[in-house]
Amino acid sequence: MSDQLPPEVINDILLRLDPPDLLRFRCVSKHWLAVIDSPSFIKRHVDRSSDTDTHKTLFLQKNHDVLCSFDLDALGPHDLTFHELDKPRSDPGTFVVGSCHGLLCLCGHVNDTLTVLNPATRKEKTFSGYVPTHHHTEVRFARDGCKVKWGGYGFGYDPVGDDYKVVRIAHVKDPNARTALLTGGEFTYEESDLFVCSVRKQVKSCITIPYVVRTAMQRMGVLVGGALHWTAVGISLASPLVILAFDLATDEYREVPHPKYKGTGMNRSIGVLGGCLCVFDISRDVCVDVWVMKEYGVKKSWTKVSSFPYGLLPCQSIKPLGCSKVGGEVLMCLDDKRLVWYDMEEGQVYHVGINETRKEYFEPIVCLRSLVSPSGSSVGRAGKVKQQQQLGDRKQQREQERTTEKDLDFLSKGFKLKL
Amino acid sequence: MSITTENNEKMITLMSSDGEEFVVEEAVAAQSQTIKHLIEDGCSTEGSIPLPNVTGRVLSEVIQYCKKHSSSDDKEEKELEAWDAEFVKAADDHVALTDLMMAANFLDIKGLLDLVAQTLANMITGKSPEEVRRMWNIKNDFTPEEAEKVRKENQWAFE
Repeated sequence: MSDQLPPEVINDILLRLDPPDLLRFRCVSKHWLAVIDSPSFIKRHVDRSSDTDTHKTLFLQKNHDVLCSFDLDALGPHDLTFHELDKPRSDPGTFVVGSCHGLLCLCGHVNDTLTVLNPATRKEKTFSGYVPTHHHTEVRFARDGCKVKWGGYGFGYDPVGDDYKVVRIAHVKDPNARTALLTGGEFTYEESDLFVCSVRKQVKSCITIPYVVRTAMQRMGVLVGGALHWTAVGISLASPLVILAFDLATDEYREVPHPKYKGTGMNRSIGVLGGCLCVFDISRDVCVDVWVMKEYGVKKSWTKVSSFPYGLLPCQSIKPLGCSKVGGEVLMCLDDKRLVWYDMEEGQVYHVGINETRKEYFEPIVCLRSLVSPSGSSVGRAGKVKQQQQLGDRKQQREQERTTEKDLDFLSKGFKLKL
Repeated sequence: MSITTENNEKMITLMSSDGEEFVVEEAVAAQSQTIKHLIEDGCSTEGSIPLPNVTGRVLSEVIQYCKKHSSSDDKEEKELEAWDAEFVKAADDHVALTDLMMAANFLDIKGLLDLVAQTLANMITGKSPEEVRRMWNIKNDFTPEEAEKVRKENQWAFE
């Protein structure tokens, strides 16, 4: 009879738990603490949650301020009511840049302050000035009277550098350019500057790309296949819409080949469905075709998985958020103001009772519940060792202890901790 | 020892740690990757396959699971889920489930391991560290100061 829990099966049980339980069970024994804190366990936990589509929270940011969170796991079959989690968090003047491995990245509208937070562990890291300060919205740019305007952005993981990266794209517009005349005196965006900042190493870089992200559509980059994706147009006037990819490992941009569309392509939204890049090809008043790139980067793997009449879900943009646990229902956000479940097999639509008035715009984002540290685990560990080595005399040690206690008080207050 | 039934199903014999013998169809037993590899290596041709880590009581439960899962096809997914739920319920408590999980781990039966691990995970969800220690007789090897420190790092998770 096993009234003991053998070490080889502890992992299998712990991998299935939510972060609050795991954080509590760090107190069970030294062995459990070591298992739960180990980077390999944290990674396996993320991988398992991604693979099994569990431990997911839907965040809605309303009016660039309040973040409400809903448990996506709590949904049963045909259950349309979300279970709201915790207290909403308010971050006035910020927008959500993206989400990856359980980390949410927020950016200030005015001062470019970046916050990377793990809502499940309530840990966060804030840093500022990752781009030149003159890159604020609609400000004069250094080169010869050009103006810039913020376009796309995104957040993701670089597996080579083992670091998270924040990306922002600024459109550079040149009032003296010849193309300005062709567009009726409107400024024409000539090209874009793409800024990258790594969260852990704090390395900043900038590349110029010959594309302009369509800001009227989706600004938040779609993270799939180790790259962020936006719909964009090239700099030539007749340029068609492209799927622009920025590879987080190589810091290089490329175009992803399109599927062989059948629709008129009035509006095209990109997203992730079942872990694959997808395109919603919206032909106004006709139909919406759903394409999935089953094997990332392989043109011939584009497959049309669904098609429904435009009248069923009239909208300009569609953002898929996830699939239900049973059946083929997909949760989608339409025009950034309403949520629907679409049953691909039955062709049925179920409206979700959030934002009933449909007057408010919101940004929806799905985030895993993980133990990933916002400051990067390796940094945290290296930092600690260094601190201990520097401890010279007892006085220093006492000071150290006091600081630690202060930090711990902060921890108990949850969100407010600055790592 | 391998014999063949009327349906031309190859049978093999498994022997538990306490010497109990179970004659099962090869297809049923081969759901265990461990047994499958033993069969492939020719271990089933002479006598029974000894399973020194699994008692007869646990092995009979494991075989029950493997029989059900080898006879059902994908269409009966819902029915199978209901059967699985009953199966773990019948296992009664965390001690029996832990035995079952150990066997599933040793025999390498992924479905069973997933099922039991999830059941045990659901059991400890929301529990306190003290309750978890009591379930599996885990020794609290922290000093009171260490325990307090670890606890304070995420005090909110205890509230």
